[in-house]
Amino acid sequence: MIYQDIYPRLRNPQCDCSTWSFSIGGSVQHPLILSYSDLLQMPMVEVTCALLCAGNPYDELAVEQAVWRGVAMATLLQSVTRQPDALFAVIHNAAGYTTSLSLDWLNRGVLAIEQDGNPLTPEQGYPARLIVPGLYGYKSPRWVERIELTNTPSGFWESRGWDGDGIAPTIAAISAGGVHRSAEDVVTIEGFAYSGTARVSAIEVSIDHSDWMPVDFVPAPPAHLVRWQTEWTPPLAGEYSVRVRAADASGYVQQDSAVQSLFQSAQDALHNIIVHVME
Amino acid sequence: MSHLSRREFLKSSGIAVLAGTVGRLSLMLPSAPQIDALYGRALSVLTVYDSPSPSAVVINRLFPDSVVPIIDTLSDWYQLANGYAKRSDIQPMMLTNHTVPTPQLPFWAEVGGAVAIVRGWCAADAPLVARIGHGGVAQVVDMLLGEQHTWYALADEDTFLGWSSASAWIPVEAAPFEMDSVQLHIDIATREIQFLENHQPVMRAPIMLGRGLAAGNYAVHRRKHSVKYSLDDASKGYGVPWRIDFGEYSLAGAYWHNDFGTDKILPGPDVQVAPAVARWLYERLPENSLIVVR
Repeated sequence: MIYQDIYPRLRNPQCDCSTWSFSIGGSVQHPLILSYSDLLQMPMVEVTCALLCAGNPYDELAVEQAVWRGVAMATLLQSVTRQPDALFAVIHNAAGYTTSLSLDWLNRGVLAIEQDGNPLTPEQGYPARLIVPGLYGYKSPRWVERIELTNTPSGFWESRGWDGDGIAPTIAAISAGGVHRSAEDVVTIEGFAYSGTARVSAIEVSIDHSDWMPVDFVPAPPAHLVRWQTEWTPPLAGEYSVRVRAADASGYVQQDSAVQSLFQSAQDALHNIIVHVME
Repeated sequence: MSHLSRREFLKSSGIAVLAGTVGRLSLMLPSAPQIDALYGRALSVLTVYDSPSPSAVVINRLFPDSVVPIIDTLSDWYQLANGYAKRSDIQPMMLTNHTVPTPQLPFWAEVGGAVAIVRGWCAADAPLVARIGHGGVAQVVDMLLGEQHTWYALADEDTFLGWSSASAWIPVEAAPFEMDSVQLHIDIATREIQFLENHQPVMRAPIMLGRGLAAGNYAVHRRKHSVKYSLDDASKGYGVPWRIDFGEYSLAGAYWHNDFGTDKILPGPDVQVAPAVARWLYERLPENSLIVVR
């Protein structure tokens, strides 16, 4: 019901690369218009990053990491001469969705045509998708057709109160815990962490509100998924609340006081699961 | 499971039962009549070293409230099964398979496991009210038999606390222990108490102070099974067991540290002893007993 109400046009559009085109217009001296084959002739770059969806339920965090290949937006922007009032970019896609970015953030993006070595699928935005590492997924629209440089930001979600910057927060989540047969069992708890703009510097787990226990993880650059795992032996049968939090290189530490929200800070609350240990 | 004597447990806790009185005083936890092994509870994140030195190689880290067997005591260190840990990081605890019949409501109970979590209602994701460590005490005022777990409704001497899984609790009753002419001496300089019967020392235990004490003679004027204290962590300080009030001061069990005998001063009761010691004293120091601070 909600999908139909607020996504009236956001069905997967059927794009034909033989007729598809990409353009940069608006506050530029001469618009740039490229066909799909033009795009394929341009120098390609690869970027590895995870995309975090702002609209996912707090307890079902969806995050996806891939290697994206495409043309650097910096390269494309160099092909146009901007006018002085070009401060923002409004991205339009074939489904009628729009979002906006500052030119600084747009410069960090990639107009991707491949994901993990394969052409984009229709679901992932074929023929081209904007990827902006470090920002929420709603800033990386699929089926991109047009970018308009302007002096005013706008966008589908932004006009509905979502954050204009869309910087993805530092979060951690638990992906496995579950039910265990007895207190003698070693429980393996694992999950991931992510930070949009700063490197994840610490991941900590707390059981039943005890002191935070640092867990081991393999460091990764910002906007990459960080996998973590730890082991714990429950002292008794029962139910245990297990929480996780992350910190990043900027000094930020996830706080327990954050309020669950549907909007920008949807993930800015501590993720927890209940571990059941049988008698 | 390794076996050890009560005397070994007391040694690990720094408690001395003085010669000639061991049999009579029986310094055991009444709720644990058969001590199976000595264990320790990790008071916070527990760092395990490969030798008893802070500069030694760290070989493991364990979650707070993990329960580890204690093999031996080496000055400020405990030897564990797979390494060494600082004594101040572990609360000695005695676990037992002995089961105690559930008395009729209401009844007093102590935390027999590492920690009891008290929550706002009967669910693991309910808001946290308190974390009561091994040896803490509360009154069970109601119970709820769930499909998988039984829950206890808990109160201290003054107020309702919340709900806690019954598996963490063991019924306890502090039975008065008849003795002749008892006194408790508190030595501020040595951070030690000495219990005397007929002027003969029969038990000695290390203490920690919550604040400065004034020297003098005091009489026990009130006792409580379980009370709250304000500690640094708002969720701690509940179920503080076996409080004995004398003058303007109080003595009680402390389950949140194992710094007894050191010159630290930590929030909480004015005189802090291990919960087992607090209960032992509670049973033997009736109102009007003499407490000498020197």
